[in-house]
Amino acid sequence: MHCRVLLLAALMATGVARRGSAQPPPALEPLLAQIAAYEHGQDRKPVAEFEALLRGVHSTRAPMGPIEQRMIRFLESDATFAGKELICRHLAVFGTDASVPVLAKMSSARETAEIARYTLEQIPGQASLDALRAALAKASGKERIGWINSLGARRDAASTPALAKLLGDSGVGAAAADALAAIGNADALRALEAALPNSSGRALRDALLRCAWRILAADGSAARGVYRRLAAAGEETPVRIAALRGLTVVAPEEETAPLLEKALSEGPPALQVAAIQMLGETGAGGAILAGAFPKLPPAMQARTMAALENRVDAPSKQTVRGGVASGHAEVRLAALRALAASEDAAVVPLLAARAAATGGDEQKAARESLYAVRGAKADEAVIAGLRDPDVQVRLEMIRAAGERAAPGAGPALLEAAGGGPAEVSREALRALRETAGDKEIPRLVELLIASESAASRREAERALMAAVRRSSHSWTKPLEQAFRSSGNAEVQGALLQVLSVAGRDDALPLFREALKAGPAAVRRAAVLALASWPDTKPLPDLIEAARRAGEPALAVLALRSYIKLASLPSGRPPSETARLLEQAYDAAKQAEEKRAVLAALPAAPCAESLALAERAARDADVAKEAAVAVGALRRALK
Amino acid sequence: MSPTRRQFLSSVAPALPARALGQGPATPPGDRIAVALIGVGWQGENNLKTFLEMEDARVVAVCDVDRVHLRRAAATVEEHYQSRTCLVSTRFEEVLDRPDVDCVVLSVPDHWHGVISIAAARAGKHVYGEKPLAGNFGEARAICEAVRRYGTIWQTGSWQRSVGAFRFACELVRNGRIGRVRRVEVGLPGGHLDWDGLGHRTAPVPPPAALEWDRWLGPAPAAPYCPARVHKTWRWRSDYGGGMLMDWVGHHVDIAHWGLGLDGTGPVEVEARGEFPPGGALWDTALRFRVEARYEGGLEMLIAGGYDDVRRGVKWIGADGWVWVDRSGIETRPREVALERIGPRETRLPRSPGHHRQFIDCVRSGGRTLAPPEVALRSTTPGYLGVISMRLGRAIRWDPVNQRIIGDAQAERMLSRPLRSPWRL
Repeated sequence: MHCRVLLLAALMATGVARRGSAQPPPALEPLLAQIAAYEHGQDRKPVAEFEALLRGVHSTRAPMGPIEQRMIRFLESDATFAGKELICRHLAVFGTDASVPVLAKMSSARETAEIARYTLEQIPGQASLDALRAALAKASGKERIGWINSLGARRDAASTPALAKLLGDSGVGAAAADALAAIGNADALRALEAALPNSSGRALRDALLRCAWRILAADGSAARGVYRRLAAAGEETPVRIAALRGLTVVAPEEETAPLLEKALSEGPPALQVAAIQMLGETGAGGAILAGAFPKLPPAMQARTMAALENRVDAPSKQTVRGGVASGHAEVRLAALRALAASEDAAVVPLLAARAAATGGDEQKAARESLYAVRGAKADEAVIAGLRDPDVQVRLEMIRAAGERAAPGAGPALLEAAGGGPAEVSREALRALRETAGDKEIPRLVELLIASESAASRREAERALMAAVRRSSHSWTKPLEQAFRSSGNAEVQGALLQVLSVAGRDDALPLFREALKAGPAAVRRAAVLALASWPDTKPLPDLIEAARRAGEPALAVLALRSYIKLASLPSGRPPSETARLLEQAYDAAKQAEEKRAVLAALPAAPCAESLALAERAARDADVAKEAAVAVGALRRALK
Repeated sequence: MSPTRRQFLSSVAPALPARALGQGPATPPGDRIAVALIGVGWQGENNLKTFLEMEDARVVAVCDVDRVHLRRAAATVEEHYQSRTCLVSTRFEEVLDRPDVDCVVLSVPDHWHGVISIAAARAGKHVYGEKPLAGNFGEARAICEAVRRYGTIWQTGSWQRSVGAFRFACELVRNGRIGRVRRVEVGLPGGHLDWDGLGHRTAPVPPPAALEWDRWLGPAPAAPYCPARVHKTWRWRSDYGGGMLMDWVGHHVDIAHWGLGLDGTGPVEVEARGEFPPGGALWDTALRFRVEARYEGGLEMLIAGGYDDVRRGVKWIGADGWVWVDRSGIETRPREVALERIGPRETRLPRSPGHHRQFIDCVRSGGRTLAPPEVALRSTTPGYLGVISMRLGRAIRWDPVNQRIIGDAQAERMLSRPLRSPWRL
């Protein structure tokens, strides 16, 4: 059905294009006949076909004249209201002066006036404007509102005098004000200003504000006059705020700053809030806010912190720093957050001290700002703080060095990692995860070897892994050397993990050696490390370990690692993956591993995978999972 | 008292200033943000529950033109606070006139967004407004101007910006993890969901006594009531919503733009095609659609709804891989990209304590919300232009600087729509 509509539309469009503007498409007529009887609630099928036809015509940009003419005749007919409304919706998109007479006629009838208005409002040109003006002149009472709105939407300057006369009308005055605001010329502004003494309405004030904005570029002084007038005490707070905002755009700072200062000191809270924000964006605002700050209530002081955060003048910076020591938690919090935007290295010790001395939200804010303060000098200040005598401050600086990935922090962090309290050492190793480079790797290896607890070994291992992962050099030789010189199985296991992250081919012989000849703990570590290998090269080693009898636990571990690696995406053919998985299936002694193989099979859709799944279906332990795999593979292979 | 004004609960205590009503251990009553909810059906009910849970906010008014919704919301508030001091009204004007209301939460059908949002700005109220920003481009732009004029805080309900996975995906793209992005695919749902099974009830019938039907229509064209036209499914009728495209554009296109740093610009050309219902009595928005948007510099965005070849969610395709995200999670190629961390010297997008929470925080601090109206306007524009292109069956050229259609007067007319009298922006 849908295809038929599209085909029809395309044919019609072609027909219209071929015939130019001579005739409407033939399919239009029967559709309009149905639409003429259309009522709300009936099936829209003819409407949908009509709209598809119009889309087809629009898509070719064919002239719409013949269709418009036919639609005009439709509006003149005794078609249903719903049908006429539909036609009007479309004329609103492509109607021209030609449609105006019938719409003007419809505008006189109560039932059709609104749909005529919608359409006239959208049709450009003088004829539709004349019709709208005439309709307004003929209308009475609140019926005028729609026509006023339309003339406003059209920004009809010629209607300004007529609209101005309506400003005092209690029924339609607000609509007239909005329309004049939309027209937005000097005459409209004058009319609105003239009405101001007799009105306390929000609509008139909003209209004035909008009108002032519209003429701002052409007549800044007139706009300024409006803003000044509406910023005065006695106006509603939102109006005063909007007027002050307008003034900050159009008037010099010498005029706006005192007004904002007054609003800050005398205004109701909402005006104070707005004044703080605007002062924060004004040149002299920093000094004004700094001066007013001590007298403001805590909530306003907190707002002030936010308003000053991006300012670089001394009073602003001093005020924000002072806020950190406020007696009110909300002010301290706001000050700490504001410092995040700072580029001043001097705030680094302040933030670290607050982070060290507080907890909860304040500590969180201090830390986040400490990590965010911009600039190389801030990094230098953090590095200097890595040797702070206060352990808690030192810990905060260490965390900051990591979070900031502070360049040049490596030596001091290694120093902290290698001595001092365990907590400092652990934090330093964590920071080194983010900062350590090639230069730090040899010392990290030493720290790993020298680690005295499993926890500190784990931290050193992680830092070393991160550094090796980031490095573009091969660290196989030094790490292998460290492996061989260490007699500690746990250290050797950790070094194998580090080597697996690098995933270099030249490290595989060491793994093979460890798998064959190492102590049990090292063999286990080797299997675990190979499971993290970035490609499938260790598969033969793992399957060999899995098949080895005598160590069931290690065999299971090796098999699981094998299945994991074999399931990774690769460029090999699915049949090859199936072959690899079949080896695992055959080596598996427990249902769990067989299930893992079956779960991986659908990712390698091929006849070999299907054959394996079908074979597994005969195994009662995994028949259910095999059936799922068979189904998935059959669907994929269809 | 007019039957359409004021409270209708059987016994309602005199309305007190909301700021005087707070009770709780941490935030002094006078410091609580007073919240009014306009529209409390479905999404509005969800929003209500979220704001009720905020210890430093106080719901002081609920408003809806359907008294069934209103009664339920009022009872929820009453139960939560164990008090009957919440204003309960069918008139949004009454809510906006209350000086003790700090902010309003708008969860009304799209055709009402423009009128109420602008009235709220005029009254100096901060707004949490559901997406899309407005029913059409003209109204959306007018909202932006009103919010700018009065300097109020605005948060669009594009809450995916407040979810870690979406932010992380955007950060990966912004920081070049997949190289230069040439194409982004936005997969949306298609069809017309009929949540309550009322889609077949399209014959005009008298409206329920609890529903102020003319008020529900508001600025939309006059039409007889039928159940399929209203709650939830209004979005499938172009008089009130924009179908799946406009229902989702404020979520996934918003994220696509965020990841590409396009919050301040838009496409230069949009070409769309839609498959519209061949029949039925009411719903007329596209069942399936493909919108191709081209941006300055050659970037292409496909927004597809209802097509299986485009995965639901947002997928940025770069020279070195791709990133895909939706509400179920994130995927990347290479896979390792998803495991990476955004470094301290890279572009980091703002962390959010929760979308509604961030709004209240900004009302309190004067800070910038994650989804201000001018950003929402940009996120929604490909949808507005897509709808126009679908309706006209041709490509639309767009000037993203001046936000105007180029060389197509008919399309230009479709950027806005006249409002039923007496409503105006």
